[in-house]
Formats: sequence, structure tokens, C-alpha cells
Amino acid sequence: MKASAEDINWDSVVSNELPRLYNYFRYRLGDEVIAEDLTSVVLEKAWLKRHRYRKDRAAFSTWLFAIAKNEVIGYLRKRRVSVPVSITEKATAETAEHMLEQSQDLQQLSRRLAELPERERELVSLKFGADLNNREIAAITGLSESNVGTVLSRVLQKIREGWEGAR
Amino acid sequence: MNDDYLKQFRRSPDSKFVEKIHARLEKKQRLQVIRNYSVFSALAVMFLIGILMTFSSTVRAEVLQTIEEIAGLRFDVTSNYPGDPDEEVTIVPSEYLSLIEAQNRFPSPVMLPTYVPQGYERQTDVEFFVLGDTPTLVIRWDSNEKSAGNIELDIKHCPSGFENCGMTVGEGALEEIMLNGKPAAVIRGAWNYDTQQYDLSPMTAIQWKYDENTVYTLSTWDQDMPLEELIRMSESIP
Repeated sequence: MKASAEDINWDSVVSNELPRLYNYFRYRLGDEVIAEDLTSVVLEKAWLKRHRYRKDRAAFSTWLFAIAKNEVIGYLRKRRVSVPVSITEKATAETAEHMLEQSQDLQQLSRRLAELPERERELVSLKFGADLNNREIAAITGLSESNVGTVLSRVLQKIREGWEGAR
Repeated sequence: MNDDYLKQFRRSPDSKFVEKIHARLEKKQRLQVIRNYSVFSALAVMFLIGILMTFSSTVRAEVLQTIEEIAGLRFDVTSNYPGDPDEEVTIVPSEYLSLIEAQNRFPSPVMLPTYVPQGYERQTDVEFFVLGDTPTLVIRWDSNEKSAGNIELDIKHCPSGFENCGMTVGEGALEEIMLNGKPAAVIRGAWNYDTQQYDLSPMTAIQWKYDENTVYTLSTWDQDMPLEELIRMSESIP
């Protein structure tokens, strides 16, 4: 089957996929500057590798988020640590102006996400940051669709409990 | 708290950031079309020249005036937009290789400059494609300032001589310079697909014979980059 590079509408990629990528990275790594950098890197890589995209194998967004997921793995490997709560809190404190714009609820949510194990944070980021459905998440992560649903349900319960406890 | 609350953490990316990314992708698309079209045009013009020169001595004399040779390289110079503008652009499939892989596979020497202008960083992947019997490698350096153009080093292996590696350029595009005491051509401008005119401003390139089968072309779309910088970078290639 022929590669579908010429079928990619890059205007649509910018208007639809860029905000999803950006929010995926924000949820996943908790840093807006890094989210912008990695969004830019992923779109650059998608352009370079566009001839490798096969329309018959996956939706474009699935292919794009597979690149994004690998980028997060590479980023975390370089840093050699995930993003612990302390770092998130420090980063938030450093961007004081930014904090003022955020409600207390959002800060709490940020902390809750930072406390999750890597795999769970990945799923929450894909679900609520990138706004992907369970089937798309399953294709990216290699989990079954029902497994994605189960894990997400458990994670949401955990977040909800932590949230209520913090109030 | 319901689950949708988690979506409230989403934010729209900064509009300037989106505009920059959009401009960058648009530019890449434009460059790809121009590159593909330039290659196609060069082949089409060379074919026409061959036919005309075979059948008409008058045309042969006329055509000879439009061919310039600089530094042992042949350029077709014309004020007319080459090729048929209605012709569909053919996309030549590319492969992306690591530099080491490219150096192992490419039939000509792949040498990098030791000097790179400040603020430019080399892309990890190297583009490789074959047009006719001419394998070509493209190595790119991106500017840290996203609005500025990048720098490209094109390396062509020309097994059947340099005639098949020539370019079609507009009038006033060529100038001869010396690189480390050897002749080279400065090429200014590129064909504009939309206006079908040759525009002298957007691109500057330096082209030279690296060895008997290899042509190196170092080019930039960064209009603020002085020619001296491009010369310095070219001269730093061993």
C-alpha cells in the first residue's frame, strides 16, 4: 500500500492536532514551556517522517500521538526521573504570574496528576489532555480498549478520592 | 466533582506559538514543491534543448547563448518560466537516514562543515532520494529563531557527468567566486511557482564540484544571512 504523505492536510493538523498535542504534553509533564517545545518537535518529526505514515494502518492522530508518546519517553529518559510533585510545585512557584491565572482547583488537579504513576498519567493525559477516545488510546498504548476503560475508571476514582480528601 | 472536570485543565496554546508552527510547516511545504518543481523543470528544459539542438542549427546558436558554465558546472539561463505550469508536481519519495548510515550508503564523500553560523543546529536525520541516476543527500541546519530560514547542504552524485546535475536559473542569478582558491558559483534566487517569474531575493546558494562525480550546494532562505557567512561555511567543508 502506498504511503499517504500527500493526503495529510497540514492546515488541519495545526488547527486540530496541535492543541491536543500541546495539552497532552501539559497533562503528561506539567510544564507549559516543555509542552510547547515538544509539540514543536513532534510536528517537525511528523513532517520529516510523513512518507512513513500509512493511512491503511492507523488514523493520522494515532500515528501522531505514537510519535508524541515516544517523545515523552525520550524526554523522561534524558531527565532520568519522572516529574515528582516537588518539581511540579517548584515549577509552579517559579511561574508566579501564571499561578495567579489558575484557580486553586487547577493547582490541586495538577498535584493529583503529578502523583500518578507514569502509565496512569499517560492514560489520563491521552484521555483528557489530548481528548482521545478509549479506542484511540488503546491503539497508541497497545492496551486493549476494555483495559484502557478499566484502568481509567480506577484512576479517576483515585483522583476523585484524593480530591475530596484535600478539600 | 465529575470526570469532565479533568478537561478544565486544558488550555489553548499561545496564538503566537500556533502561528509560528503554522508558518514553519507552510514554508516546508512550499520548499518541497519548489525543489520538486525545480528538478522537474531542469529535466524538461534539458530534454527540449537536446531536441532543438539536434534539429536546428539556428536554434543551436540561440540556445548556446543561454548556457553558462561556471566552475565546471553547467547552468541553463532563461527569463522564461521553465516547464509547463499546468503539469502536476511529481513527489520524489525520500528516505530519512542517520548521518552515519548516509555516509556508509552514499556513493560520494559526505563531508560536514566545521563552521556553522551561530544559532543554527543540524537536524538529526538526513534526507536521501534518487532522481534518475542522481542520488542526492540533503543535510539541514535549523535556526533557533523560528522565523529565519534554514541552511541546506545538497550533495549530488553525478555518475554520468555534470550535465545531468545542472540547474535552470533566471537572468542575473549567477556569479563566480573562489572557495579556498577554487572556482565556485553563487546562485541567487529561485523560480516562483505562483508568479512564474525568477525571484532573485529569497534564496542564496553556493555550488561547486567536490570531485569528478560530486556536486556540493550550500543554500539558505535566510535573507539576513550575509554571503560571507555562507562562503565561510562552504570553505570549512574539508
